[in-house]
Amino acid sequence: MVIFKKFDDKAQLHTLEGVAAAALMLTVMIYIIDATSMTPLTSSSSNMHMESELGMLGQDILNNMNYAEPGYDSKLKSDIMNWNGNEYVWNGTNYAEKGAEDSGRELKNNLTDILAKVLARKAIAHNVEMTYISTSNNATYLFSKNMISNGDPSNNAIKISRKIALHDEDINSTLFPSNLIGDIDPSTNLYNIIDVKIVMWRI
Amino acid sequence: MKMVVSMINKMTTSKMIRNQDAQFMLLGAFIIAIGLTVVTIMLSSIIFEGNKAIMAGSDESKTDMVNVMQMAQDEIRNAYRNSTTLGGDDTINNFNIHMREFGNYMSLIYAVHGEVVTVTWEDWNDKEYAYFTDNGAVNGMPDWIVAENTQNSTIMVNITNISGPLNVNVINATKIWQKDFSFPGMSIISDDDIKANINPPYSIKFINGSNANGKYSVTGNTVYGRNFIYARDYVLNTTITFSNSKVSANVTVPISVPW
Repeated sequence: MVIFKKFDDKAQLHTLEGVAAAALMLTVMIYIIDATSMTPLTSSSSNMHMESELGMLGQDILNNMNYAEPGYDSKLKSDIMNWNGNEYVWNGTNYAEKGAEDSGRELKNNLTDILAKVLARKAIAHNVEMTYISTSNNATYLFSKNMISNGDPSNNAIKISRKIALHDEDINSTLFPSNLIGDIDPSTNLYNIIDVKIVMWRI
Repeated sequence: MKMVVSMINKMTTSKMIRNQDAQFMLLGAFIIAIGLTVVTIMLSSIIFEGNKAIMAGSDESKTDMVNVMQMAQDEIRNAYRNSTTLGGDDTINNFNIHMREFGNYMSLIYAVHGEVVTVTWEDWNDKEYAYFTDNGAVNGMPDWIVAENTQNSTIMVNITNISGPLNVNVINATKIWQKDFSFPGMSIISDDDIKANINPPYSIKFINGSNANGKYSVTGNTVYGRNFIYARDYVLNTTITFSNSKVSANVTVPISVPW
């Protein structure tokens, strides 16, 4: 009877010591994991989720901007038609002309309104790139120019794009840079096809 | 002497047992820690794969396909309006040239993203006018609302073939005013005609649309001050093929022209 009692005490103590040793090892592991730098850009499950959310946000922005009733131009198309071909950068309050930030010249349109509210104020860096078709000497080329540029995107950047067809009647000769984006087919009403790409990344 | 030897033996045996226990305890601790680590990694992998599956659901290819379909629809309508407005003998030819150029440039601009897009279309040569149903097909919904919340409007109906009565209803909150059509030919219901019988805001509804085919247009503005135009001559089938490394699709869309 005495032997059994002694054996039981020992087993409980061993179990307790085992649990204590396991807790100690887990503490060390947690410390190691915490010591590792986990940023939003670190490739992980949460990063994938964030990329997915960012992609959906970009899709929502472009879906909203690209909607038009019959007989009307979408907000996105309207912005392209009225873009003067210059590049702009977010300076914390508005989209100032790149290289002439002190001039007071800024880009203010439907796209910048939504980007400032949805992306800039949430510290989501973004570029807006326009790719258009150019033809010369019977050859066809694709050119890209940034409408909004906030630096080089990270490797985890999300790209969302929409194509917009422009027609001869869409061209506003006072603002639209016809010297930049030309008529690819003068024989028809088709003027050009623009690929509007929003690149977004967390900083 | 025997007793001393026995005590030493007992002490040695006791020490040995304690040493073995310590090793087993350490081994147990290792097994528990490794087990917990394995479970954590497995859970993390499950969540990771779950997120990948969610991302697959929100694949960009779907929105790209919808974008191509919308562009093809807008372009067919634009090409039709432009070629028919210009008129002349080459109306259909001009339409086909416009669409061919559009299809070529679409293929080019999508190729940049590694996507293959082709657009094929039909013209209205030897094609009969659309029915007055919701989708323009003979088996489409015969009773449907063309415009709502209308303040001012003019309705043009040009019937080519008719096999039974076609009715245009103008409806407000308290009253229904109906105009009946039984013979081929063009009729215009002016804004004055409508307002002499019914007060705005009203809805415009086609009834028994499958009994007749032809052209119609409804122009005007809404109570919110927005101008609108709804018109249909033909329904042209357009086929879009879209493929990239993930998906391949072939979609035929009926597109009503000119709006």
